[in-house]
Amino acid sequence: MAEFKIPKPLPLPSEDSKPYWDSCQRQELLIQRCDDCGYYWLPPSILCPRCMSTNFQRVKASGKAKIFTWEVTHQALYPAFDTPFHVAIVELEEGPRMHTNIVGCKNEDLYVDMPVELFFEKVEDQDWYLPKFKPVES
Amino acid sequence: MADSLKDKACIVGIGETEYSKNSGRSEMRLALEAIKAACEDAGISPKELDGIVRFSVDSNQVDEIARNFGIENLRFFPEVFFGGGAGCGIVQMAAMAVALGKAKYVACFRALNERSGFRYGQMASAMPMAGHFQYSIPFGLMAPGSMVAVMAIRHIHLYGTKTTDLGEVAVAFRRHANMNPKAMMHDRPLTLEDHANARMIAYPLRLFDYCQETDGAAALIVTSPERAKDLKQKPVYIMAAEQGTGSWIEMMTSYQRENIADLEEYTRLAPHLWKEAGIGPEDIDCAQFYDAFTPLVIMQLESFGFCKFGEGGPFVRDGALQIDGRLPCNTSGGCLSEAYIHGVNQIVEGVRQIRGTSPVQVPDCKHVLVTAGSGIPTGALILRSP
Repeated sequence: MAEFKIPKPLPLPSEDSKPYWDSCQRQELLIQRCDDCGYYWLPPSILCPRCMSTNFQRVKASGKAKIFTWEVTHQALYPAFDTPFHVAIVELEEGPRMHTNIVGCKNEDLYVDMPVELFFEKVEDQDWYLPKFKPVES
Repeated sequence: MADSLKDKACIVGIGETEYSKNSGRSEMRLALEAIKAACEDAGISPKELDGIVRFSVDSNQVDEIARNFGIENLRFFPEVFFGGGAGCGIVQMAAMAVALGKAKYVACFRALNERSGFRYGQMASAMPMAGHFQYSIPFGLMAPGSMVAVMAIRHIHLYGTKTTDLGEVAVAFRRHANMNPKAMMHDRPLTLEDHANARMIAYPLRLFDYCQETDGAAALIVTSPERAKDLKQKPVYIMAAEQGTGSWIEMMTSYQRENIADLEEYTRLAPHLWKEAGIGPEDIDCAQFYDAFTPLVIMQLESFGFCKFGEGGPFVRDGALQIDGRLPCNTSGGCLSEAYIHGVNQIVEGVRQIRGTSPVQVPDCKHVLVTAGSGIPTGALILRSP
């Protein structure tokens, strides 16, 4: 008998976040850059959070980042992920931060400022790609 | 125009249900019991209430409460958003209404079956993820404790805070709960060894870094100093009441802001709070910090100026937060060890301290700081004796 697995929670894109998630499905990470003040930001929004300009481009992130912080969940009320699992907040080279998982790294090897690089990973049993990171090979 | 809220309103009644893991009754019944008890404590009838302030997350609507009590002329009925962040904001709302003559007697309450009903962190019913949670939950950051754990890692990284410092917070508040017959953890002592050896929930947080999950309700009655003179209890004056936010606001996940080891909401509202009260941290006899998780207490000590940024860990060592320590905190046991009524039980305890009726009484307690939920738009109060 096949083991029943609880599906992983997926994003529900809004009209304003759809371009971001669509870019992820094409396996590129688009961040917003203000035409007027040059500011880069995430998560997606309508106005530049610094100068309120509506003039912006969605530009491809370099994919270079470092771990800003992290945690390891050992006990979860909602059993979609096999424990223990971690979540990391990484800071992109361009400045914005994002939630992710570091693939190919043991939980106990995570550390603040660890250099990591972007890739895309398909969600198990779902037609969805999420932006993930892996340690930079030295 | 009034230029300050200072001393323009008082808390004159407090009411609570018992605190348990399974109340066996509806959240509406809990709310009515707590509000009725608070009215009885004040010496008024619930029918005299002309204001009710609710948490937006509370399941109980004001109209149904008013119908149950047969209230016919409610004049003031706002709500405050952002989960536990509403705790002190509901009292600020009530105090402003009373100060401006928009209501005579205002009830503030929170009622929840958080343990036997919907438990925070149980995300299944909210799928798929909309709003800002669409950027966090798909990667597994699902529970409030995990959302605080990433902030604790930053605090440890920047300042060298130790997990034994978290243990000091848990042990101090548990000691108070052991002296408080109403506390859920009344009969359960806790040592630093117990804290260090408890099971890991979200590294670096272990079991006793987490608050209780509770079924219950708590309520307060706010009125003017003039009306308070005719009531049963010694009035507790609201010296200052503030709400505030930080930058890049998200519910629990404001991680774009420069420093997430600083609870920016409190850091920004604290100067307004101290200015309105006309006192400083050195004048506070005891504090009731919102303590859903132990690291939040260490961060609040810094944000409110009890110590410098980064020194919250050393501050709490050697029992400093205990009843006989240099700053007794969370004297009922707090969310960690008394009950999780979204911090409203801690306002009730602040009132008891000023009245001199706490089972864990701070001698000669004149000024109490109470804070609301952390990592979200929030609030704080300073209470004083008449």
